[in-house]
Amino acid sequence: MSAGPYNYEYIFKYIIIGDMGVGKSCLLHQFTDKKFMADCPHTIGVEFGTRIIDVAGQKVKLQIWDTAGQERFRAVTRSYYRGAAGALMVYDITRRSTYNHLSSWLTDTRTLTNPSTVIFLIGNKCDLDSADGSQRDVTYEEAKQFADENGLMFVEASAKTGDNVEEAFLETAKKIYQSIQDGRLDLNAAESGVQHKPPQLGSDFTPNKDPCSC
Amino acid sequence: MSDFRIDSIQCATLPIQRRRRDATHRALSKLRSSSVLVGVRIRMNSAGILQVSNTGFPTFQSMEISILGEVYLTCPQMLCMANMRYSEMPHDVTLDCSFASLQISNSKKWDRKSENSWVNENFDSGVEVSSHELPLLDSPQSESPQCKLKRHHTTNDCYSKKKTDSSVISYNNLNNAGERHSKSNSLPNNATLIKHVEPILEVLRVPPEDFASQLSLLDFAVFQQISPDELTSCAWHKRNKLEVAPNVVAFTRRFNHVSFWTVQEILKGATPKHRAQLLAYFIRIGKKLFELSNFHSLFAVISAMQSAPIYRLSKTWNHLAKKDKQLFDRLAEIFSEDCNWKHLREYIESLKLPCIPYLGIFLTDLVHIDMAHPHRTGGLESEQRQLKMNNILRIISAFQQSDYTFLPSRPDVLSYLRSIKFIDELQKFVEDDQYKLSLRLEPPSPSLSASKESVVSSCKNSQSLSPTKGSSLLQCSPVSKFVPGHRKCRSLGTNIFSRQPSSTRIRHLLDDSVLEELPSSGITPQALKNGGLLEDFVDLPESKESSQQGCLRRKTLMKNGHKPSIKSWQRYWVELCHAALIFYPPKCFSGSERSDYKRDACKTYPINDCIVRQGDSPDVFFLHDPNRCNTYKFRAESQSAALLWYHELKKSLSNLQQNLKPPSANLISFE
Repeated sequence: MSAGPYNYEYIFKYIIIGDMGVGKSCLLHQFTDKKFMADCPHTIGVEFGTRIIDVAGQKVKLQIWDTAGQERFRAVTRSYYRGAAGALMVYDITRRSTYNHLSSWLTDTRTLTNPSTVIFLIGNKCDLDSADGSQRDVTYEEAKQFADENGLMFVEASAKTGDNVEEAFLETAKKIYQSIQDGRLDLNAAESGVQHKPPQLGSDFTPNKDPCSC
Repeated sequence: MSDFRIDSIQCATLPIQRRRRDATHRALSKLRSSSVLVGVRIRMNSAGILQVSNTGFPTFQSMEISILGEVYLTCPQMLCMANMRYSEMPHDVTLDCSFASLQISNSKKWDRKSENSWVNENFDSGVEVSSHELPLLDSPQSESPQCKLKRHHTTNDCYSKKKTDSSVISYNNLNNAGERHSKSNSLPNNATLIKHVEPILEVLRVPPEDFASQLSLLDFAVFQQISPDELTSCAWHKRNKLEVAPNVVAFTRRFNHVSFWTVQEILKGATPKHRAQLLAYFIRIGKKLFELSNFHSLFAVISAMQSAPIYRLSKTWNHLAKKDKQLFDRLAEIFSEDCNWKHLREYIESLKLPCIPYLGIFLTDLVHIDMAHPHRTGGLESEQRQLKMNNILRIISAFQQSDYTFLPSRPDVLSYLRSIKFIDELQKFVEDDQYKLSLRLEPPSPSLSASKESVVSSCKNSQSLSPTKGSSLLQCSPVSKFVPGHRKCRSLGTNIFSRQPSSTRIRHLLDDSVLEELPSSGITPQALKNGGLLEDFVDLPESKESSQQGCLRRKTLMKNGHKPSIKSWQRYWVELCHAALIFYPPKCFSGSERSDYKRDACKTYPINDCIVRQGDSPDVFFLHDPNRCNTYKFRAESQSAALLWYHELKKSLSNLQQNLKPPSANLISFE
């Protein structure tokens, strides 16, 4: 498998976190253009949601993990944080409870990820924000302020219409890439969440993460 | 030996109680220092009930004592704590020290409660019941001359009055809680009154294989019950989860209980060495679970060790023997999510029965199938959906054919394990508590700026899956020195709550079912007056209610008429809300912004009859409570702030005196 030429330079690991029903999987679904694992959910050894994007002229493979369905298992997401280069923290703008819970998610993320992990806050379901705003439960300004105070990037997005979904994933990647360029993110650190894939020596560098043909 | 118990009418909300935990601990240590017997253990259970259990005699006997505020109970003829260390006390949640209601009950009452306490798991509770059926030898506790009720600060009259008041309130609240929970269906009725008999004194004394086998028996009994319909419904996190997917929920709950238990037991170790010992012990349990192919509990144990409170304990991890560490790494590797849980799926596929799989991956698969092939109501299920779901159901039902009957049942271990309950609704609070305890045990490095405490710990611990490895990396990795952009913020984001409007709905802590019955309004003087302590439970919407807030330092000059032995300044974010001062503890060592303080209040002090006066220096003012003989000294950040506080306090006090009759009771006090 490792024989094939790599058509990307880096792999970034992303995780998507947030309460149940905020639309995490829909975001993933939307972003990976529905090419994710729904078709072979229990196939062994395939990557979960992936897509190759272009960041500053470099091909970057995003490897996106999502634990939808397991939120009730208290600890599952905790082991899942490690080695994430980007964390998309999602809440539902029509349900304040999901917003209120962000602080817990943030604490966990910061305790269990690298300091260099880029956290992107996404207010999902902005399509439900009708003209009179009747369904909206969290204002943009409020969330924006929260994001600013905590140094998070923030957009409101809609997994349904696709609004801002690309942007969230791409901006996160840009920020991560920037960190690499600045030397803030150490590629050799075990859990940086980023793998560099020089075309020649790919396979022994990260034997587990060969791209799959699925 | 008598079998008796004093029981409190618990007030409805554990979160209130949680904040009084320190008071319990203080009372506990008093209790301990005054007792002499051997072979008895005192612990505080998750309902804030102290349990004194005696295993030094052939028949197991037990007694429960509730500590309510400063009231505590000693029974010199029975108590003992000779072999009890503070660190051994469970740090569960809780205590209600606000309601001074005491009720004395006998074993009949106990039986009634045990029926109510937990019915979700279909096991007979033979052991527990048999201990309850012990004859009641003693007369009711209050008449026993050996028992002293020590009351610190009020007269008996006051207490009996309160007793009546709050009994009513608490019963009401309990009923409410019951109704509420039968709606959300995740908490058994009377769950605040959970009791448990605990014949197992110390986890370490039980061989790890016994825990592994008994956990497997418990897990499998629930796992076996899961029906295909529950799985295809994908409703285990919806509001109707208990009707539609009761066994999936129960199975998940088992996972979480094991995980909480693991964290809790490890945090009981007072020293890094002791904690490492406990950690190693749980790793060995993990190994046994692995041998039994119980991936469910194995993952619960493993992920507990990877949870924030344990994972960050780098000193503890450094004390862990290398071979235990390697064992842990190997076990943890199984649960790596790489390539869609490649390792776990491979393991499971290669296994022979019996096996209890980790259900989570199947649930994720199902959710994704559900998303890719949604089931439209009214129509037939699409063929693809059916096909794919059936594939998963087949796998699961194959595992359900497992047979664990070869495992011997150990009733004492079983009943101990069953006694570990965490109320789902309060999961977040338990998590918070565990995290705080972890911070206390191994404080974040003070060398770095205090405002970055969370960052420091994450630097330390996040380098790798193995915390020890992580800290060694820390020494050589340049990354750890750097604190990038978003880390600069001091806030952990908890301050978002301060902006919550008062209409905020209280949500189920695990999913989003709204707990309708909870009051969501702020404190009103009336609520305070009536002893409605529920304001502690809701997120305080202070923005509307508070007339003054800011960071203050407080020193206790007089407490219950006594000078405290240690006087020190403590920092709080303080809000003046009508008739009470609400104190929020600091998150870190310095900082004067709201965001530097926690969102959960730690104390609420009614100021109805207080007297405020200005201090000797301009940034100081005093608050004197003649009823309770408490005097506090407050220091504001500046002279003008102190003056503002003084005037605001003065104003609210005079308002209060105009509007309210003197309150009937002192319902809340500092611990």
